[in-house]
Amino acid sequence: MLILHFYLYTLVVFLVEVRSILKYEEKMKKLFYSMIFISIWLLPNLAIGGPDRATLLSMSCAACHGTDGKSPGAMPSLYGKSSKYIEDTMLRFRKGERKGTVMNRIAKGYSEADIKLIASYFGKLANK
Amino acid sequence: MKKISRRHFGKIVSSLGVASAFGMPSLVLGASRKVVVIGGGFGGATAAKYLRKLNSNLRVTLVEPNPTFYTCPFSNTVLGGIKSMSDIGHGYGALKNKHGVKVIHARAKSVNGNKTVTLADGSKLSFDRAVVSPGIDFRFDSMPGYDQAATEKMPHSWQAGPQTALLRKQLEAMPNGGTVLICPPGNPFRCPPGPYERTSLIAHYLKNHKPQSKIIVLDAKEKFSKQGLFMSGWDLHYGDLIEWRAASAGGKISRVDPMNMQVETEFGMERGHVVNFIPAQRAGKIARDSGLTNSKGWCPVNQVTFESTLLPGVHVIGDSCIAGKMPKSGFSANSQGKVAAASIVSLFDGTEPIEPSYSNTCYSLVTPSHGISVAKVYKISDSTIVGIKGSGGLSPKAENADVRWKEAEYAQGWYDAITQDMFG
Repeated sequence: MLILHFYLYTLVVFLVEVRSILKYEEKMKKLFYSMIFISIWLLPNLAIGGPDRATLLSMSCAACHGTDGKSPGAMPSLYGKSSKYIEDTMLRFRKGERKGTVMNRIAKGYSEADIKLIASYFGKLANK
Repeated sequence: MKKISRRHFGKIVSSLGVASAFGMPSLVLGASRKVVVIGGGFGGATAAKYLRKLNSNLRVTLVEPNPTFYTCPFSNTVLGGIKSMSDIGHGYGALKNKHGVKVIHARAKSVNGNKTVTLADGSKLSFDRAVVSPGIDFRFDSMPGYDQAATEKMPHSWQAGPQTALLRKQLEAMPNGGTVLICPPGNPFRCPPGPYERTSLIAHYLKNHKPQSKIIVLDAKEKFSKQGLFMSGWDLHYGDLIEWRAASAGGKISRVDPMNMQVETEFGMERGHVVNFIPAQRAGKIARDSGLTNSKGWCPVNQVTFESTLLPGVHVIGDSCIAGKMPKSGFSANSQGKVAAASIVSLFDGTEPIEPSYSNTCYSLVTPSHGISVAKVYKISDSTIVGIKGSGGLSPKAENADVRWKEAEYAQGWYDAITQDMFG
């Protein structure tokens, strides 16, 4: 993500520079607009980057709850649940306040910060 | 017409330079990055799907000999007559059509230092990075009398498919009052609780169809995974239908005789109408043929990226690799496939792979409505994978039938979800 920000920053610097040149050179306007076009075209690719820890943690859940938390069977789906619900439920499992069958054991493997990341990942996924 | 000043040009070049040093390589080169994944099982299919999911610019080719993959997990339900072969078979249609993975049905012969894979027909595929997930191979040299031909008489059924169907056929043909010998190997091996779930579900079949029969487990070990939970389940459901012998109590086998369906133990010969001999194991053949294995036959890898410490650019995941404290299981392979995919995307991107998180949850069925589980969450510590203290563990020993039933339901739920996570 840091690199994405850095790249966007340098892209802005670059475009500002080109634009200031264009004040002198009218014919280079075409270049300027093509640069803007290229940068817009490249933007979706930029968003890819390396995955963050929230993504990586959440990928673990998929092995039981389905890809993107969409369960095809008896396991509860995580997709469509709110961040608050997932966070509260995981914290209750973690503290032993909710019994469960296996999640009470699994939740103890994640810190409160991890749980927040997982909850916010699935919360956002449903809103996309 | 004014000339572009040096100052302006200099700034453009430097900003472009910075952009290309950090952001551009993934943009410009991303489109041509090639990953070849070898083996379409729990590790390979997961890695292929998640590589594409994390970066749709990658060109991912999956090399897998079989058009249908039969899962080892739940293959014991086929042996127990609860499910059929088609219930545990999965195709590669969604990986091809939905996820844009190029699937080649061929056997890969070797992965080479010059970043190519050689297929059985001699053709070559080039890659920037490869993921090798070939599962296990058997040490036919480890037990006198057991060789490839013996697998037709005494099937191991430790790679699902024809071997599963063969063992099921033998169980169906066995007379009521017959003896089944199950012979689990020493550690390490694929799916530590597997032989005991198999014992349970074969017992379930015999109890209902051939109740005079008997299972003797001749173990190469003194103890086994989920032992307390299995043994109390056996007492509850099967009584003296199952007899388990530890290595030192006559379980250790020194020779097998497939012609006479006998095995030799320290206490004499044991004869079975059906003999399920599970040999000692090592990494899949291609891993050995490509110089990816150590002297013990397994693949040492970086525990974050799963890149081989012996062959740079080649990542080994699943049963073949040495992954700290993680057991050799389908779930572990799925977890490693994701961690490796994330690391490869980061490495292509020129960024540091992020701190991984690994997990394993393993359900076993004692009966179709009595499930038990073991789970663990893992992290990296001092360059190796360790279990997180206090996480996971076994199903409670004293538990009511309702919870056991729920765990059996969730075992099926897990199967449906993980096979969708790999093939859907």
